[in-house]
Amino acid sequence: MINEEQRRIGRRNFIRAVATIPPTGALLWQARRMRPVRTAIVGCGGQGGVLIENAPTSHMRLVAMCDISPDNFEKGLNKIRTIHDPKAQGYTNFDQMLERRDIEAVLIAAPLWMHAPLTIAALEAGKHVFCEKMMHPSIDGCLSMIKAAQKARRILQIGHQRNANPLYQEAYALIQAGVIGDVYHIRALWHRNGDWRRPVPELDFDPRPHGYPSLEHLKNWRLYKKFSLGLLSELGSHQLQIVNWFADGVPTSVYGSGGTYRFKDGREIPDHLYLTYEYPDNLTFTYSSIQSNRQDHYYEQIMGTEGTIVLSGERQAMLFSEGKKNSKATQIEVEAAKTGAPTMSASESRLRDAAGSQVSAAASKYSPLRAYHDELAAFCHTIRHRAPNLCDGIEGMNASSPLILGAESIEKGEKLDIPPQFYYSA
Amino acid sequence: MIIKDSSYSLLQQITLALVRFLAGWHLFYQGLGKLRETDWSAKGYLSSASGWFGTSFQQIADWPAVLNLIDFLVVWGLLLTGFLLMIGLFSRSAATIGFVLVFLFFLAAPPVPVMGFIISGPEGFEFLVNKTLIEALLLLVIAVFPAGQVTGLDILISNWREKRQSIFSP
Repeated sequence: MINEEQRRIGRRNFIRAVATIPPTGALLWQARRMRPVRTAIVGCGGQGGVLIENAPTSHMRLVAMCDISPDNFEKGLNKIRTIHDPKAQGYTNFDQMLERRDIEAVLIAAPLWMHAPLTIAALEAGKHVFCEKMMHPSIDGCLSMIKAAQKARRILQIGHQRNANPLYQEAYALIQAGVIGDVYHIRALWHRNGDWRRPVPELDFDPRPHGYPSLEHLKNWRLYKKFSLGLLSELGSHQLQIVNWFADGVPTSVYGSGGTYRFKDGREIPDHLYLTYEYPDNLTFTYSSIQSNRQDHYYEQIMGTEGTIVLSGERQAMLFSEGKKNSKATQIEVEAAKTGAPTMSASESRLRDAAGSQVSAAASKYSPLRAYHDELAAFCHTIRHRAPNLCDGIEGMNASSPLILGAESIEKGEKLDIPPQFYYSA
Repeated sequence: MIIKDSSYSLLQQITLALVRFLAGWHLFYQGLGKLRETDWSAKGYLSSASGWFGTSFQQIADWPAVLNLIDFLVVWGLLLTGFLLMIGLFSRSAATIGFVLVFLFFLAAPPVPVMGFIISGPEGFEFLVNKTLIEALLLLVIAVFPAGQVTGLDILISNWREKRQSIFSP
């Protein structure tokens, strides 16, 4: 028989004996939460290749790829096998790839018109989806993607990578803090001097079953209305999304002008376009994208009553002061820190340019390519740890609808209203 | 070479003394290298601090008065504690100060997840525990065991204390 004393000592010893098991369990559980997300990618062309090369291997493991075009297929599979998983599998049939239960998430970098069908299929198969920008060239498509994500209870993130770029985060903070005063006008542009055509290789492949009349249409999908909105969707979507972010709103009307002026080679989208968007609070956003001169390169310029912020080439930020209130210039520095996450520091300094106005400029050590790495890391963070979505379907749709209407305005030559029903509402 | 009336085996005592000596040399040379470098400062390490106290450490990096003091304390702290541990003098105190120093180094750059995940570094895969923390704990172990009594000038000090004690007791 065991008496009370013996029982007490026995219980105490037992507790001491098993005391290290709960902390061990807690650490093991945490470690499991940090296992890389097993991901597949569809579309290994230009942007797909960039995603494969810049994906954060500590967060994400690419285990499968899908591409209908043999040259991209081979290139993509080799890259994934070298960088991520030597046993990665390649597929030409997307639904077949979706059947794999070990794939948790899918990156979609296929041509624009396929964004909605591929995203919805992946979500319905229970995968989280990272879909490249622009979300989709039709408003119904965008809405279907959002609804499919909600129904499947999976993460949908749209690839507006500038949300992860600390230069833009810092600029947003400065604007919110009132450093440049009230903003009435934002200008953005992307000017290039070239025809934007990709070479069409000799391939033993018939793209017609996939909806492309010829190989030329597949390789130059950006130039055709069926597959893309052209400059607006491939370039403009980045910059319009930034304006939505900085303005904390969405445009209410658009007027556009443009056409195919220089490269009359059978393309169906404009090579020169000029848009004016009206936002609430008397803010106007003007956008131009041309293919006959590249002096201005690409930038966003936010013009406030007390100063100007210029974000150039995704890698340089300049802050100009105006008006009596601001007499100090602020130097913005961004660099990648030891741990891999970027850090920012701001210090006050005085610089004057030739005209005597205050200028401060910082060339970022943070490469624009790093933003792809960080947005994919954020995607994994959201999947594993329910972190806030860096750019969800609603934000993606809010950046797409104005461009869809903008393209229509250019075609019709009319100012068009963008009423609330063209944006997401629950 | 044997601690008087000790319950520690010979192997335990040798290991203790060896660890104390080598940890001391590690700290000492860390300090010496920093001393010899003409422009060493803790600023670099502090300004890229991360973890639970990251912002506090980063603020120190931008505060010249405190930074200069830290630079001095780190270099001479490492040199002094390293030297004392090597010769085995005031081992307990030296090991305790060493533990505090190295633990602070650890706190400024703990291996914590970045955006939810651990990024493998030059030392491999570390989650919450890295070699700096292990060294800090090692110094703590040296402090709580009589590591200076196996070999080291602490023996002379304890001898001297005993002699003083015996004068006053019958």
